[in-house]
Amino acid sequence: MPKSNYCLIDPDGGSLKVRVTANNGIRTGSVFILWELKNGTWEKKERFNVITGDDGIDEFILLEKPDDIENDSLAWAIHACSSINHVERGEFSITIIQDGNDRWKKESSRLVPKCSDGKQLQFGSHVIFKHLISENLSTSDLWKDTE
Amino acid sequence: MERHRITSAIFIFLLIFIGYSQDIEQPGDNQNAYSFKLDYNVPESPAFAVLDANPTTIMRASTPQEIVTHLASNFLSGNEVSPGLALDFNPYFTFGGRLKSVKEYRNSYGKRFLANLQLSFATINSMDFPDDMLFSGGIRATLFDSKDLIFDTQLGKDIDNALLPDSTDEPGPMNDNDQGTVVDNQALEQAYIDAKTRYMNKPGGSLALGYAIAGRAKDNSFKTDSIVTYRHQAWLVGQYDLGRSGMSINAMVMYRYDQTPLTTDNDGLISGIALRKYGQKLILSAEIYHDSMKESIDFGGYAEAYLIPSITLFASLKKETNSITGDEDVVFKPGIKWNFSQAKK
Repeated sequence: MPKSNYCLIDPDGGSLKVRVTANNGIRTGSVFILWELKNGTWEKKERFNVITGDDGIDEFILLEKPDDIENDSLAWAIHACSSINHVERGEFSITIIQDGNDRWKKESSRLVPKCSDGKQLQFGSHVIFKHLISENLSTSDLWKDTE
Repeated sequence: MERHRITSAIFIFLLIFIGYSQDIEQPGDNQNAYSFKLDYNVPESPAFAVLDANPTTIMRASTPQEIVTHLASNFLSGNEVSPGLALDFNPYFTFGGRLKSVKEYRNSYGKRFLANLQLSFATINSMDFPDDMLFSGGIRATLFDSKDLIFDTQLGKDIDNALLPDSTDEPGPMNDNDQGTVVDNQALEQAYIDAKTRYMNKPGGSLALGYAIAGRAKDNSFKTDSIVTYRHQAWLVGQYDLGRSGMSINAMVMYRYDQTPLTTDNDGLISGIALRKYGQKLILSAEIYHDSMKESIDFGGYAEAYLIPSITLFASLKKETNSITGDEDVVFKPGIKWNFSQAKK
């Protein structure tokens, strides 16, 4: 579980990949939207449809460069149901990956209604991107920044 | 006795008439929650089978559906059918088993085998042993099912499309619905109505293996020295659905070993075939089988109707030979199957 809704990324690193998983044969359809705060109002920058399908996994890459994404919000709404008999619970995960490293991950175990009952579980949240402070900065450089 | 037979006849007539009158509706006509469930082909309870409490002798081979509670009842017949209860469930998921994905279910025979195991426990009061309680446990494994719904890729696509949020469901920048809510989705219902139509029109076969053991608690006491094993049985059943006609052929061979001191021929084979006609809300079937222990050929008819949400009403009329007296009689067995997993929501 993440400690907060903040995802620390390297502004000079590669593109951000978002991976969604659901196990136990649970099917999900979801939408992810990248929002940017401009002049006090949120504007939609990118939108992605995500379907975990038969594999239980799907991923997409944010088009926005990591350097330009600070303080942007990635929000999602996930709809899920169980397609396999006897399955009532499943584990979900959302992972933000940069250069092969997990920058942020949220996992949850949830009770899920059966698709055959004509019901779905809806849940969602958001994460705010923040730039990592460079590890190569010396203490004196950090003091300069604060001054 | 004559009064019971008249009551039985009226019950069967009403069951068939109401079921048939509703059966002429096309798929999708009725949008009630139970109408699109694919629970009309629920296999019989293995634990009830060993106690002869199932309404039919020849069982089905199809994939089990969810958690089902079976009730046997003599509320109408007054003959040798006794009240009882059976609960069927899947041990793999109940005890924490997991699947990686639908693809793993399709590709891994082992996982599919575990996901379709059916464990069953039952208890019944028997007229053969009026002072005792009979109880049983059984297990049933689906070896093969070419009509398994999880292999319906069109259903998978339809579900995925139904789940995809539209523009009205777009999350805001500070979206916080982590708790989650369960809501109705009409498109999911339609996906299953379409799947049911495809299922009924598709030819295909299935094969299942079962084993069950029954015990007897003398004087209804569950002390160690009061419990004796009553019966063992193992069976193999095959089913082939012909497709568009809605007809299905089932064939079964069962080995039964009785440990009751009242019978002379303690073991033997029960083998036979059944012909079933599947409607949208009514299933009619006829069966004929040979019992080598009684040296008899028996037959019966069966009707199963889906008229009330979560509940299946069934009734059978069959010629049976009493294992103790050897007398032949026509036995009426009404009962109820309760789809527990749907009803509890």
